[in-house]
Amino acid sequence: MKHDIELKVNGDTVTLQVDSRRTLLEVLREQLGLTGTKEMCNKGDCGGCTVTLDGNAVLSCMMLAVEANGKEVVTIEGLAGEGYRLHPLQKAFVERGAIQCGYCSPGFIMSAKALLDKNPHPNGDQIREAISNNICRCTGYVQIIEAIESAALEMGGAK
Amino acid sequence: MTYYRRVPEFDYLAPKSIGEVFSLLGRYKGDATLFAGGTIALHQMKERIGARPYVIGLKGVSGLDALAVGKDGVLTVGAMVLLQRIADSAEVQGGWPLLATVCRLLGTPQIRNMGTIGGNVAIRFSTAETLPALIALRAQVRIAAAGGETVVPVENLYREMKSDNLLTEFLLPALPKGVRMGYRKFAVREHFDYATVGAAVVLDMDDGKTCKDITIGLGGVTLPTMRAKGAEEIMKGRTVTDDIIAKAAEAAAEGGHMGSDVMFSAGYKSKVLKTMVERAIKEAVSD
Repeated sequence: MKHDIELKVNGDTVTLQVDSRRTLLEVLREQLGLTGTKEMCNKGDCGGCTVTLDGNAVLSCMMLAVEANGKEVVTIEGLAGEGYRLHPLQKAFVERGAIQCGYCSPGFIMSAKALLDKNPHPNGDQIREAISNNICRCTGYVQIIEAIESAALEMGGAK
Repeated sequence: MTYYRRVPEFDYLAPKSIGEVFSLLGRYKGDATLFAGGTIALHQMKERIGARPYVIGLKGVSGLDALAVGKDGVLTVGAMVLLQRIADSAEVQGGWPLLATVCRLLGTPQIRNMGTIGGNVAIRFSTAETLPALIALRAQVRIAAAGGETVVPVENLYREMKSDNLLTEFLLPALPKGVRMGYRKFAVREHFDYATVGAAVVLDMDDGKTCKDITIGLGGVTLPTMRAKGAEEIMKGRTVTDDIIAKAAEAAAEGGHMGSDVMFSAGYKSKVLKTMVERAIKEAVSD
């Protein structure tokens, strides 16, 4: 069964037709070409597919696209400013060595973005809780947590 | 178990009212499945477990997302209320902090932003992490059927709910003043995994010494043994001491039936459950 849906993706309104069984992840990657959102475990364990939906972090592999109808989605492609100016979180991940292979990074950054948008002054525990659904097999998390702390400072949330 | 990348084919139906849900269930009989938050349902569909040709999405059904305190002091929690919304609710934190705590400790931010309390209870049943707290808080649950609805204590849900029923809301009575609460869960990874076992306690004490009333909900045990009535009886009317708490915890662990799983043997889980009950009661005492 096909459904006509309307999404706001990274600020742009898009209308498209999706099949009942398509996940939001499949539609973002395959229909909209937004391949920054990654597919890894595809079962909600790894967090690689994390995007924000109306400002909240969700797993796009565990969500039907038809149920995102009318909602606002932000993916990693939606973070950089004009002229490809990196978002403070992206910059901090690069500068702090929080990226190695890079495959998990979009998910981590979107989880961190959802946190900082709601809580600009997170403590270490709140940061760890916010990224508890994201798995990185390269860096060991320390640099990732440092990067989020440093981005929070740069974004004006100095505590 | 084969896990597929793609969800199998189905038609997604989006009813707007509870009446429409039942007319769809009637029309498609055993061919339709109810779909709440989807975090567990999609996982099962990708494993081809219980896949059906029709999926009835509940997100657009009106009347399932109330989170409000009535004039009688009863908290209504609609089945489709997101777990994170319960954790963040000032009213829940103030009047029923046990429920807010349990929702805050369940899963991960992403899961709580997608998962609903009704789905957690209805799809998981014996491993539903919210259930021990709902039992300890003496919640009632409203179950809708094609021909009407019933309200039953949540601890009897497993007996009362049939496959073509819809869980619509939980009703939590106001708690007596000064009541204390405790919650402990044991999970492989605290902030990620399902609770292997858990214990939720609501305790009312006289003069800070005697147990006037107590309810204990157990997690990770079979459904009929989720309320530790034997342990409650041991505590009631007695002066609360470490010794009596240990006895109650032992009775709770003995009464809670559980099987071995891929990680832990039933014997080990029983030992951990005793410790969780003991700690949850002690937390309530010092609450």
